Amino acid sequence: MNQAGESGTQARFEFSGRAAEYFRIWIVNVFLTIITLGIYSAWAKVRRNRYLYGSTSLGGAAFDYLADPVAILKGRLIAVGFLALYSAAGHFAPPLQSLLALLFLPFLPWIVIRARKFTLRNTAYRNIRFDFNARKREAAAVYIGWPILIPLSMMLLYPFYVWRRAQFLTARSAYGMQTFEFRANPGAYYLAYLKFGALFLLVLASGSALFVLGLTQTDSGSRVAAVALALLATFFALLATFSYKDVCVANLTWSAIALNGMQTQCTLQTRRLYWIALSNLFAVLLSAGLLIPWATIRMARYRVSSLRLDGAQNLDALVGTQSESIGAAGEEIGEFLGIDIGL
Amino acid sequence: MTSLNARYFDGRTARGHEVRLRFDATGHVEITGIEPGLRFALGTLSISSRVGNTPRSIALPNGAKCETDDNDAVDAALAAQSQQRYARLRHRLETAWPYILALFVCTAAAVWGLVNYGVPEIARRAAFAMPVEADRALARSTLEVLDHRLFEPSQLEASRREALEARFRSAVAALDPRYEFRLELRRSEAIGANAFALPDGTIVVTDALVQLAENDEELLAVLAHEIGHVIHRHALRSVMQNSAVALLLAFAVGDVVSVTSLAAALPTMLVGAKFSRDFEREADRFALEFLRARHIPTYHATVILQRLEAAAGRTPDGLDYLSSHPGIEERAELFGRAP
Repeated sequence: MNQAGESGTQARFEFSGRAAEYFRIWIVNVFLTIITLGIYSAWAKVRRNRYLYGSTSLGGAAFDYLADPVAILKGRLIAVGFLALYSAAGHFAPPLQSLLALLFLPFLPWIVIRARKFTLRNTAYRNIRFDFNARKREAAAVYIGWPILIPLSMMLLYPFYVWRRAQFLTARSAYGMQTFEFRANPGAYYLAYLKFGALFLLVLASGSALFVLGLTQTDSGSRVAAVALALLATFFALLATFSYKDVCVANLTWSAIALNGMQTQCTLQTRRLYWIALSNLFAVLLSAGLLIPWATIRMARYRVSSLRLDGAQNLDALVGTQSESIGAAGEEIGEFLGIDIGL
Repeated sequence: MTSLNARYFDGRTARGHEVRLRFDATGHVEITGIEPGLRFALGTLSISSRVGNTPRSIALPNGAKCETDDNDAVDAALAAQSQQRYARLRHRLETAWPYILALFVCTAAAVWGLVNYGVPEIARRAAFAMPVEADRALARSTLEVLDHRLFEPSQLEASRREALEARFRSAVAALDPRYEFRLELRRSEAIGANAFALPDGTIVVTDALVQLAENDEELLAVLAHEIGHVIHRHALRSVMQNSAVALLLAFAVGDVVSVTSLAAALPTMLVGAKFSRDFEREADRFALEFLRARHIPTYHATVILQRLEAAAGRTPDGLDYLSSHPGIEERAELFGRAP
């Protein structure tokens, strides 16, 4: 478990969840959610997260998910209400929909901050909660300002934006009285995206070459087969390319989180993550959804177990603080609109 | 009397202490292993409910927390004081395979019932509770957009057009006066022989369909089907049903999103196609009544449907479940065959 290293003690994050156990919790969640027409989903979310957090441990202590289901239910009702209004406007009065989107924009920084705050406040480890404290102005710059600049820079600023967002989300986070630091530089993100771009072009070029080669087949049967094979190969190669980029960015981001002389290290491998994601997809589709819990546990185990903490001897010295509760509307709206708030 | 080992976290620092908790018969818990030792009434503790075998946390009135892996001991202590009855019941539900099997069957039945009866019935009631103006708003400027992108003016002779419109007007005269049924004739290369209804009562028919029909009765059969879509408010209901299913699915199996969105999109599409077939059946039944009330032989519908299918090229067998319309055989059964 713990080994002495040059930089002090290393502690691995461990995941003890089991698919058979989680399956039973999941099926109860699905059943109760369906017969209550979605109301129970708030309680289901809490149980699911309690299981996943509780199965994750570091240095012999587990993580704790403390969110109040009633707060989540209220947040979901607000989110669903807003979405219903928005989509109804789209059907009945399209100009009103644009107006709603415009009115919504000033709330975006608030939503981002509240969402992250809700998640972190309700995450505890060793009876000390995490927290998030950011100014709306900074959130507005990161979530509204940068996305406007990126297309103007012909995507050249995109890697910098990814770095900036991760920095914002990390450096404004806290554990008890301690504030996190983000120790990555934008250059590493540029390098990752450069490699990704080169790989992407290579895949596209070889895919097109295969496609053209397929078209030159004289026999019509083998022509169809060759073209289909080329398309399929390109599709899976592209999927792998995107996995590669995701893994690079995740490793950079999760290896840069520092707290009180400790730092996380993330060592995901593209090959393994790609295999897990792809086999999960087929397992879920072929089992008509029954293997969803298995897929969830498998992915969580791999992600958690590829994370470790250097300098873990400093853990005991961390100091806690008192904090009050917070509403979940921001998190639920953010989740529904697919705003990228988590790391 | 129950006792268990736990880690004690005071909430001020992250340092943990190994402690022992002893639950006694008087409903108190005694904590030893820290100085000074502590003693609380069980009622003042807040003990988290059990989730699988994840560690339990026991919050103390002094702001500290005890974390323990000994779930069974915690449950025994709670049972002795008859606390957390519902939580323990839920845990039993989440643990025993026979319950899980029963629950799985119930879940499948509930999904089936909801998709077949629950959601369509709720959407039907909601749609009919809304004023007709809602349907009109739904169709606003749709025809203009289509005219711009897809259609050219009809090239049928003026006399033929007028005759058709007159026939249509007299046929819809007795229908719900809240709808303004209008026949719009258009020419379109893209969609060929076709007809469709906008929710405000506008029925669009292509020149190719008029030419495909051998008599006005056949055309009226198609128009009756389209009027059925309007009267039964299928546009509004389809919007509501599809969003409800998508939302419920997202809520019920929230995990899917993390696996892949494709796994979530597929069932929504399948259910959407099923709803669509149900609407077609309802429109067919409306057409049947409509034709009968006007003493038009219903087999005309079968004849024109068969001709439409022949013109569109046959769909492969076995794909019926994915199709948005019921099969031709089923529809011929309903309308009867030509004598």
